[in-house]
Amino acid sequence: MMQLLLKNELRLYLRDGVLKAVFITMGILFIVSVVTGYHNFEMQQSQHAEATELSRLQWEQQGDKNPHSAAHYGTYAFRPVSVLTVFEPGIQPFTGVSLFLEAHTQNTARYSELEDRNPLARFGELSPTFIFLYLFPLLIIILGCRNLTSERENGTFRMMLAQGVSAGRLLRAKTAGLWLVTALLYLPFIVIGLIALLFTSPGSDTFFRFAVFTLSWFLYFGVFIHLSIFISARLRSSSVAFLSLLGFWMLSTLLMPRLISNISAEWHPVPNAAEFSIAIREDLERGIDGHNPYNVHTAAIRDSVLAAHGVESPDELPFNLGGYMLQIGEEYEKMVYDYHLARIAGLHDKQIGVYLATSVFSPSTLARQLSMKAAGTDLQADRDFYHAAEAYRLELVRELNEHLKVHAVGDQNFGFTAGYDFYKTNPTFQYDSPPLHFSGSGMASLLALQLIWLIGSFLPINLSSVYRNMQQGGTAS
Amino acid sequence: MLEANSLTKIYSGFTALSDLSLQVNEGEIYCLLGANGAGKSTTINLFLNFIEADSGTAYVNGLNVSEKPVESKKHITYIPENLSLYKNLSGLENLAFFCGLSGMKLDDAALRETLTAAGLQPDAADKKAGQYSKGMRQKVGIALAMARNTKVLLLDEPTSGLDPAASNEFAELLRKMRDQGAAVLMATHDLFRAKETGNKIGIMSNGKLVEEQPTSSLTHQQLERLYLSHLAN
Repeated sequence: MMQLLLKNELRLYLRDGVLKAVFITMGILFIVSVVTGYHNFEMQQSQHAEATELSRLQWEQQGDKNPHSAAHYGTYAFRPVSVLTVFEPGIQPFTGVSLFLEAHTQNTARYSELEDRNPLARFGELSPTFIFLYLFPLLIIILGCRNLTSERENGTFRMMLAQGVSAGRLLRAKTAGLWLVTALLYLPFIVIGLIALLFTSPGSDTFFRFAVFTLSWFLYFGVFIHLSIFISARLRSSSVAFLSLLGFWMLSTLLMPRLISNISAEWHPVPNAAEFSIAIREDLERGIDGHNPYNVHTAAIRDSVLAAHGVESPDELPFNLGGYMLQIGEEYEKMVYDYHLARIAGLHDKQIGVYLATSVFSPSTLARQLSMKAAGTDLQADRDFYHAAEAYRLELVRELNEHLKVHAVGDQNFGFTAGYDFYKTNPTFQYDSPPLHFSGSGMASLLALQLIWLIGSFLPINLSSVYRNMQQGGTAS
Repeated sequence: MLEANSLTKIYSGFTALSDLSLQVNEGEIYCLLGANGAGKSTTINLFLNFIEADSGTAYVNGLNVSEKPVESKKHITYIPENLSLYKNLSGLENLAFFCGLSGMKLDDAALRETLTAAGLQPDAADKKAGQYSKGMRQKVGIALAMARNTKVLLLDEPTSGLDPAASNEFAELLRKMRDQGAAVLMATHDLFRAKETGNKIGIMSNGKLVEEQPTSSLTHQQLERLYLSHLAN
């Protein structure tokens, strides 16, 4: 029986001209989004390789100079571009893929994609995620609502009931039918996505991430499938049912994400760039300044070092005091930056917490978080890159300071230089995005919440009042 | 085969059906007559359990329809005023689907034969139902009854809007099914058809069955006068 009902559902959908038109339009949009995304990815990847090489060349060939001047000269850390950004750019267009690394300072991301773009680009980008988040649920609503209410209105639902099929069974078949059609509509998207992936010879982690990415969106679609069936079954008027579902779609996809974002920013405000920079400057001024020999803390450290070595002048030390002091200063500066950045990160975490807590009102916010996490383009992934780049910066500066400390013995602080032979030995920045399990419990809890939405939206379909409503065929007179 | 015992249905204070009792036996066509809103469709919907009675019981083949809603429908073929078919499916596909729902698995040849027996032109079977006239759709309904071999037919103004020839053809098919032992309850406005086809008529007014007579005891004129007298009341 179920097989017969499903076969009929599928046949009706496939013969529906509207479905064909919508599917072709969506297909074109998806292909365009993947092709442009892939082109963008290729361009970024080639720019990334070029910039990495150039940056290293610039570092090694910066000429003879004091190692600490080299630390100020700085270099760049570039984040590898993942092919998954074709599907889910996440926060990457805002955070950028490179960091400028220099002494004393922890810079934030530079050269984000959006900086280079037309301001209109900020209004939205045609990516597969955009299609999955906004357009696919709308398609499901149209199909689900149209299918069920039109059957009720033209009387075929009554005809089915009259053949001795229970309303419960019909509703389950309608639900399964819509799942099946959604899966069929989604399948070409997955295939096109896989083809795009295969062009880049990705590792197993990329495939795994892509699998979780596709699954997470499918779960999200399921919520709209269930709600479309439930609302269409519950409400007798097709126009009221459609408007109700459209209202939910607008609330979930458009209104709630912005509202929650504003609320979370209001509850846990993050200092602006100027406040952040002033707070850091104040803390830095209160502590050790490796550059300033008259700084009260620096002077105290200098005196204790001289005393420990039983000498009266820095020139008498077996190492260069400048290099030593710069490293001490660097470590203090790192502590200050870490403290303030951790504070900001804590506030961001709280904002995300609000975002997730309010996902009970919107499966869309949840789906987007899950999608970004699966693609490795979320805030956590960005932080991982940032920490790796910072660890590299610290090691590079430490090596430069150490070189100064060891080799510029006596009064050679500013006169000492190092050249190509030294700079080429400095470490290069190596970074691989962490595998998916890095997200660990974060991913698990997001998936769990999405499953709760899925099951929660399915339960009302099974309410006896819905069956009763459908059992009556909708047109009792 | 069909039995209503003191059925009452009230919609928000409006009594659509009041204490209705009737019986339709095997090999009998019972025509329910009455003005719009008299309670004819409500009676049929109660037998189908599309609505629930506030009091009273409806039986189909001895089954209480509110206790056995699914099982009781296995014995019924329902043909409404406008038989609903899937417009994107052919008549043959529609028949196969609805037969399948009731557990009947017939091959293409048997389905075509049934459609032809129900009066549908052989070349129409493969046409999309969206292109069918009302008469053709009603014939698919009859074909469904024949294919399912149900012994109870519930017809809600099935000939309304049909041209006289199609209406006559439909009545002929009904008589054939009655002769094969079917119990038919037909709500209609068509006094002529009721007299010609039915074995018994029941006149309804304001939710009540106000008259019940065998058709053999009435002439066309007497039936018309009786009907109009109740309509005036």
